[in-house]
Formats: sequence, structure tokens, C-alpha cells
Amino acid sequence: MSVHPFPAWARRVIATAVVAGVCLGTAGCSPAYSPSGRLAQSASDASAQTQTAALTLRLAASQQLPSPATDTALSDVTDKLGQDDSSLTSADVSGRLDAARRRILDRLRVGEDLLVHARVLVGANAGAAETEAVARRLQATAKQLSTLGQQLQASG
Amino acid sequence: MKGVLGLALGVLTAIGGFVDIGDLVTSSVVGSRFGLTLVWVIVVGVVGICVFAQMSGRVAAISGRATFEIIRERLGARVGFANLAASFLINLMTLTAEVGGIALSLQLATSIQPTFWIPVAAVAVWLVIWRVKFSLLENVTGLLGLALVVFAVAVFLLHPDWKALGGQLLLQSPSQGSETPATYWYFAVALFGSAMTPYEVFFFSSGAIEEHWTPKDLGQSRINVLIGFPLGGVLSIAISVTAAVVLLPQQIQVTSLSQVLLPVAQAGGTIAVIVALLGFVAATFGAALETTLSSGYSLAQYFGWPWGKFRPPAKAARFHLTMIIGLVIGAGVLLTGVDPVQITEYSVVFSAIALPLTYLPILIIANDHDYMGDQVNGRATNLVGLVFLGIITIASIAAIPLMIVSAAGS
Amino acid sequence: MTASLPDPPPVRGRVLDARLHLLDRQVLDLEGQPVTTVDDLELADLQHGERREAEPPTISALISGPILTTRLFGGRTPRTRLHRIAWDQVTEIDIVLTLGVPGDALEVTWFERWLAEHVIGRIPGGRHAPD
Repeated sequence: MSVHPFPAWARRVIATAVVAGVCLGTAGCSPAYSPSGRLAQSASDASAQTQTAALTLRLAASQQLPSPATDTALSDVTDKLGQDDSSLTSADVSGRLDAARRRILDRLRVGEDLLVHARVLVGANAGAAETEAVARRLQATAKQLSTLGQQLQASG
Repeated sequence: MKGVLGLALGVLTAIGGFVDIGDLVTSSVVGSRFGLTLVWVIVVGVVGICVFAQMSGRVAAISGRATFEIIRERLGARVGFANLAASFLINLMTLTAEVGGIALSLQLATSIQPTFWIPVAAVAVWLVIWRVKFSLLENVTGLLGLALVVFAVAVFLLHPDWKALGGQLLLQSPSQGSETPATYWYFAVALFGSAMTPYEVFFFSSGAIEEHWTPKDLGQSRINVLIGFPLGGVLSIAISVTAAVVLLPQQIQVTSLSQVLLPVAQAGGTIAVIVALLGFVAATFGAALETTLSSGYSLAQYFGWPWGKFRPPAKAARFHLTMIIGLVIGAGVLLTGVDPVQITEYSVVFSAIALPLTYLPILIIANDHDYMGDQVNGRATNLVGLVFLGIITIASIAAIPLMIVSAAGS
Repeated sequence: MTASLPDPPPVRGRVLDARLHLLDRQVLDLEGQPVTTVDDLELADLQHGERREAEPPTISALISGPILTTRLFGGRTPRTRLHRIAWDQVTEIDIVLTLGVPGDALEVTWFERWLAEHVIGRIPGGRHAPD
């Protein structure tokens, strides 16, 4: 029989505390939880969504994607961009990060406007030239968002 | 001739029944973020599920005992109950994800909101369980699930750069700038969990008893598992490849089911999309049936209640009540507006965490002469079984820390 | 090698380890229908929690139902809420226990019967097997 200096409940509490401490410690060092990491995450997510909208729009214009699937895909993008918008709007950062946040939000809103336009075009069965123009602008916005995200990540 | 047909049917059903919402989402997410660098995990997971399913089917056929009866007999009431609680909750989470997957697939096909489809899907799942024979439900969903072969066709239609793809297979570290090793390994665990979900084992062993398997049926089951599951794994890999070819270069990280569909549209147009959607509905519906049944199986087996679809529902009343409650909870959770894709992503990781809970008791019983007579595991099976026990344990322990460090892969 | 081991004490009948061969085993009725799982055992002449080393105990009944929660979480179930299956109704002990009576006659199955009668059996199609 081994003798423990602490009663069973105390050992359990200590073990839990150690595990929780290690978890929180690693989480604290992880870029995924830092304010700049979270902003970068929102930017790259918004970029992926805008890019998805461009791809969807092109597939719809070339009759490769049936309209219910197109509607669903675009409305998924709208929802996700809305989530990024609200998390960026409510992000509590200051100084250099706040400036970055505003730039990202500005591009994201451009993306949201383009998306509204895209959904109108899809609904109206607009011509290839017109949809391609919007798809290009969506793609350009996605690129800008992605660059903003990478800059944030690089600067830590 | 009938024998050959039966054999083919079994294999085809196993292929079509392999993929569920977890595989659809996780394979696509991983392909879109890591290319083919994680395909090795699918291969390992498929080998694991073959060993695991084969062993639990053999135990069920020879001893006539299903998984949770064994878990309680071996682990006792207390540890067995902890195991039941964890397995039941994770299965409920998977059930929720599958019903959500049906709703999302039907939304893609009709553009009607998922809030409409969620109750419809839950009631349809219940009706089928209530009135349709076990073998019929398994064969129909399995065969329709074969529509997902369209992903494999899409890979060829996309004319990928095979050499570059092959190069990705060997590259073991994340190549994309923003992915960290923690996210890479987090998704490795998720992909492993999606290939080896524990409900497949409850379902497989209980299904063996539902269909009154005897040791004579084991040959057929071995063929179903050893041919069907690897080919099902190929579908999983194909989903990953389409995402890697179309979405990765455009930096589209998959976060919704609609994105899983886009590469198919690009490869094969409207017809391919329709076939893929049929596959989505069949795969998620089939898995919703399996997880719902599994919720009833696990509880009934632990408490010793009568269970099984071969009995009239009134002769297995608590079993049927459990499944109804499970579906109501699943549909209720979905109606709060949570994203089924996110539930799926968590469910596969929690599945990985729960794997040792079902795996270990089966491995022990497969070596117990009281249950198995002289049909206990051979040395080779035990060696492979032990290696997988190691892999499963490591994945299970690593899952939570990886989830925290990688912020659930974000 | 075996010579050094003393002979086991002589016993009449089969040696059963209550934990290994009885507890948590599935109980089937006369027709092979599942009844319950053995949640606990009632030992004759012994009070709950009492131990006696001198003579081997005699099992008087299998116990099921709410007793399980006390086995899991501790505490004590009132005697009136125990579902007993008298030991003399057990006809066979293997990897499952078989009873010589139909399950419907037992108190343990009341909830199953109530549910079948008032809920599940009332839903259309609930009384015959799927086809």
C-alpha cells in the first residue's frame, strides 16, 4: 500500500488544475487565440467565402450548377460573410490592429455588396459578360482580403 | 447465381454505406486545406475499421452477443455505464449531424430552408425504422449511396496534374502557408475518427444479430468488409482529391456542404451534381438510420431490454422509445439553428476520442474461450489488433489537446 | 509442477464467481426473450452490506431495476422498489441466464409492458414486425 500525502479529492483537484494549466498555457501561446490571429482568421475566412461566390457565379453562368444548388451556395456565403462581419465589427482591438480591422471590414463589405449583385444576376439569368465582370471583382476582393490576412499573420 | 448476386449486393452495400456526413465534410475540408498530404490517414482508418468491424461481426455471429452486452459483462456496471454514457452522447451527436446532413442535402436540391427539412428528415428516418425491414433499408441506402462514385469520375474529368498530386502524397508537413502542425494533426485525428466512427461497430455487431448470422455467414461478411470498406475509402479519397484539385488552388477552405459540391459541378455539370446530391441524401439518410438504431441498440443492450427490428415494435417498446427520443433531441438541437457542418466537425473528433471505449472490450472478448470457443483471435489478428489499439489510444488522447491548441482547426 | 499445488476444496455442483458469471449478465425468459440484466444479487440471511466469511452465502434472488443507480452512484434503494426474480426460477447459467417462466409474468418487465400497451402499441403498425 502506498501512502499519499493528499486525500483523493485533493489529488483530483491538483491533477485537474495541472491539466487545465497546461491546456490554457499552450492555448495562450497559440496564434489562434491572439487578437491579431483572430483578425487574420476572419480575413482569410472572408477571402475563402468571396472566392467561393466567384466560383459559384461562374459555374451558374455556364449552366453547370442547378439553380437550387446555386441559391444555397450563395446564401451559405452570405451567412458566413455576415458572421465574419459581426465578429470583426465587435472585435475589441486598438491602435495598429484597429486600423487593420477597419481595412479588412471595408473589403469585406465590398464583398458583401458584390454578393448581393451576384444573387440578382443569377436570379435574372444575366448574360455571361455581365456575370464574369462581377466574378472578377469578387475574386479581386478575395485576393485583397487574403493579402490583409497574411500581412497580419506575418506581423504577429 | 443467387450466391454471386448476394455477394455483389453485400459488397456494393458496404461501399455505398461507408460514406456518411462525417466523411463527406472532413474529406472535403482536408482536401481543400491540406491537399492530399493527409490521405494516408484515410488508408490507416480504413484498415482499422476493417479489423474492428470484422472482429465485432465475428464475436456477434459466434457468441450471439452484441457490443454493449459485452461491454457491460466485461467492464461491469460502473465502468460500463461511463462507457455507455460517453458512447451514447457521441452517437447522439453523430445522429444530429446526419439528420442535419439530410436537411442540407435536400436544401441543395430544392433551395428550401433546412428548418423545413429537419422535421421532415427526422420523421422519415423514424418511419423507415418503424416499418421497413432491416435488410431492405440497408440495401436501398447502400446502393443509392453508390451514386457518390460520381466523385471518383469527377477526379478523372478534372484532368488533374497527376504528378503534382502524387507529390502531395509524400509531403508530410503542411505546405500551405497559414496551416500549423497543430491544425495538420488535429485534422489527422478528425479524418481518422470519420473513417472509424464507433457507431459503425455497434451497428455492424447488432446487425449481425438482427440478420441472425451464424458462423457460416462469416465468409460473406469478411468479403463485404474487406472489399466494400476499402472501396468506400476510395470514395472518401476521391472527395478529398476533387477538393484538392479545384478548391485548394483558389484558397477556398470548405466550411459548408455546398462547397463540397462545387468541384463536381465544375467536372461534370448539372447531371453530375444531381447524381452527387442523390448520393448525399442516400449516404446521410443511411447513416441517420444506422446512428438512430445504434442509440437504441446501445441502451437496450446495456440494460438487457428486448431490442431489434426483427421484433414487432410493441415487443421492444423501450428500444423504440429510445430511438424516438434520440431523433426528437437531434431534430430539436438542429432547429436551434446550429450549423450541422460544425456539429459534424466536432462529432468526428469526439468519435476518435471514444474509439478505445468500444474497441478494447471487443478485442478482449475476441480472445475469450467462454464466448468464442475455439474461434478466438489468431496471432496475426491479435498483432494487428494491438497495433490499432495503440494508434486508437494515441489519437484519443491527443484529440483534446490538439483541439485546444489549434482552436478546433480554425 | 502441479504437485506443489494443494487440491481445491471439494464442492458440490459448479463453482460460480458471482461477479464474473452472474452480475451484469443478460437474463432471458422461457422463450429466449430478453428480460433484463442482473443488476444485483440477494443473498439469503444477509442484510444489505453485511459480510460473513464463515460459510458460503446462498443466493435467494436476482435483483434488477432501480438498484442499478445505487450500484453506480452509491446510496440505498428502499426494499419496496427492488424488482426480484426468485433464484429457483433460474434454469440455466451460461453466458446468459435463462429463466423457466415467461418474462411477461415478472414484475421487472412492468415498464416495458406498460409502454407497449399505452404508447408504442398505440402507434399504427406498432404491433406487427416490419415488412
